[in-house]
Amino acid sequence: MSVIQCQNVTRSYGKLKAIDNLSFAIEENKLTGLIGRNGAGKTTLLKLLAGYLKPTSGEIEVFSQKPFNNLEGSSKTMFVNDTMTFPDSFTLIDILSEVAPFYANWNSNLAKGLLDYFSINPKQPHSKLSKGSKSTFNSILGIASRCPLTIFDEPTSGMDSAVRKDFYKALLKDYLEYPRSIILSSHLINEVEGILEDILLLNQGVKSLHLPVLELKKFAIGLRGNAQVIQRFVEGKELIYQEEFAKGYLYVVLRSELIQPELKLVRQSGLDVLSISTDDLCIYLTAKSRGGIDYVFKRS
Amino acid sequence: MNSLLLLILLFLIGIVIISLFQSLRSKITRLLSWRLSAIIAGLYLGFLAMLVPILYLLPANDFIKTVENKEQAISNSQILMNDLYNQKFPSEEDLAKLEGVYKNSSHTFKVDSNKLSINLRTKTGSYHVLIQEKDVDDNEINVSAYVTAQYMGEVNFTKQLAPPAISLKNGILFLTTPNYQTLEFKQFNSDFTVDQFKHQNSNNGLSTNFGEQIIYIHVPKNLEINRDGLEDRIQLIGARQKLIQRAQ
Amino acid sequence: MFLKEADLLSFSFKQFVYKLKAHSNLLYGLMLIQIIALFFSIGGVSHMSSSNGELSVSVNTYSASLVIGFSFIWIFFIGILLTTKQYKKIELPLVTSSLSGNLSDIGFLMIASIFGSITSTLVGVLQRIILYISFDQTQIIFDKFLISFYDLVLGIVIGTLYMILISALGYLIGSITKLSMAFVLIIPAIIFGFLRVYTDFFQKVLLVYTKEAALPLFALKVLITVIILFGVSSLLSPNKEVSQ
Repeated sequence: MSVIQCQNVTRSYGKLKAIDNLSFAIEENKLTGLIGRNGAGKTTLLKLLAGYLKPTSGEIEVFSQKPFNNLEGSSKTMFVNDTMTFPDSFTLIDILSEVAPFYANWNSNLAKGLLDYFSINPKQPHSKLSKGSKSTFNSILGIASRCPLTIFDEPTSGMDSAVRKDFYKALLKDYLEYPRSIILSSHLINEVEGILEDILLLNQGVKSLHLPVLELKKFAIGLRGNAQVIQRFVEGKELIYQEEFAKGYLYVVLRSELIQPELKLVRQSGLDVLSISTDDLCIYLTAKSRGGIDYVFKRS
Repeated sequence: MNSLLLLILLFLIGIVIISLFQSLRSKITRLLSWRLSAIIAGLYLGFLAMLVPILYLLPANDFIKTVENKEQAISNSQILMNDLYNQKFPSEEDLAKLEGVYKNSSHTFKVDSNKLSINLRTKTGSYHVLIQEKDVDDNEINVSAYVTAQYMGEVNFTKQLAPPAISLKNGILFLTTPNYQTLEFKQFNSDFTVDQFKHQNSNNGLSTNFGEQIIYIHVPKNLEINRDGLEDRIQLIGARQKLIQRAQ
Repeated sequence: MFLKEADLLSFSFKQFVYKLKAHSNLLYGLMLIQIIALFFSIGGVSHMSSSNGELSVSVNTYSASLVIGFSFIWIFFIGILLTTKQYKKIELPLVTSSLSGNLSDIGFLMIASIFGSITSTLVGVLQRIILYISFDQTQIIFDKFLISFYDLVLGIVIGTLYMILISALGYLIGSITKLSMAFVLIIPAIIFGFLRVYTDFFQKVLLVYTKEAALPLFALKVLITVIILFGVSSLLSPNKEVSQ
């Protein structure tokens, strides 16, 4: 069963299309990473899913309902982002107990335990927290709410790396104990790929790919070596990335399946065959122009 | 128009206070959790509610009560004044019984001369002197001061007026008005919310009725009365009046 | 369908409780404003004096009207305040829809109105006791000093009705300005324009409420108006996206 179903969803701000004709579906109880660069439309997509925004065109269904201004949808969705606001008349510990009645699966022991573990003073108002502590606290809410759909928008911004690691561990542990659909947006894939099951890669409002992490790791392959030799193999094939790293030497990245049959031959031709990390792959896939930053320097 | 201006002024004051408070609020209330706010609001409400029984328990003996019939009292005074003007003088018994008329003071003097003249040292023309001759010659002059109903709005302050100072010396009756008197009253009105549903217009038209003073003098028989220049304010009534008329 | 309505009510109620706690500090503003109004009216709201040559009589009239009036202004601003982004934002981490948000706001405004009306009417009692202590009894006119319990309750009921009406008006104005910031300028302009040009009409509209001397009829008028005002406010918001 699909928890989220998007059909040709477009969302524009004036002339700018933040989300452009996006279609995808997310299955129940998956931990999906929404990956994209800054301004790729991640937050806009998440707000559309959380019902904060309406799509300009296309259909979004969350739990088979349109999420915008939908109470039932809201009761099943928790959207954790850095603009969450809580009244100053509540201390953090108050917030935990005041928010609890809204979420049927709320785990208050977990919430208090995490707050204690991350050693945030529970007697202060939310607005007084530092950026990192705020992110941590909001994430605690996200985990403890145990909503059927929990959305984290850049949850780790401001956290130090120890806290990040603990947060991901906590999230994963609770996810395994209490499976639910989680979407986690990040621009740092190497940090999250360890816990993700699926990855949805967004590039300028368009879906680049939507794959299980395991497949993504084998998705592409890199060839490095003499330019002419490489040209012979990749002729007519679609390249994800291409870089002339030295005169007459080329580095190309292409989908594994395109070169798989010839891989033996490639190796024999003296070319280096490199596996591509998901991080690099995502950078290549979302590069604004083929050739990367070097291209800029080459031109000038 | 004036009240509209006042309303706008109040509105502006309200805005200033609220905006001032808003700017301070963010600094203060961080320290104030909802529990404290709720407790303070509760205490405030509780304190005010507690005042209600206290109000009802206050000893309320000396308050000014406005139970008298104002209309009757005022019309009585008017009729009385009209009568005086028309030379129709009441007897002192009738005067004392009249509703709204209040006896201020009474004095008894020994006659110290065979003549009596009256020195009216008053600041207003609201003093009417009535002189009546007694049937007997008991060598005593009885003076009583009466005031007619005095109202401000619903408040009858007749009884709070200081009586005129009266003394007799060498056949001259001195009648001096008391020192300038200031009376202050505190009145509560219903709040405008309640006023709307009570059919009374108490807040407008706090009209003032100042009364008149009537000095009733009983003189012994055959005392000679000199009222030079004050014929319009000093009236002789009863037998004496007839006597004088006959003489003329 | 029934389940959904029950959900709406239950979540609105949860939100209402949440907001009651969250906005409890707004009551400080009310208390402060009432105390300030009390100080303004301690010298009497009107003064009348007259004198003839030998006597001067003056009557100072007191009432809690100023306190009530200030409380009315307060609730008007609270109505507007609740529609502002800053206050609406606190709904977001909760289970919410625009309707449940509005319903919980309305609930809060009602409680605030009741609290405001009770306290402002009772400040009148405080005022009486202050007067009792500070002046000689012989100066105090008993007539309305001892406010009857019936009048007290009547005042609270009427004050509450007025405050709910005013809060609904503030809430509507706030909701309209949320549609577009342009309304922030347009609405006062329209109001003042109307006041100048259609003074009669405006007064007649006011008189519909202020000259109604039958309580049930007044309550009915207020109720209908409040439903319309809140209804329009609620209709304005469903298409509003969350901006942060």
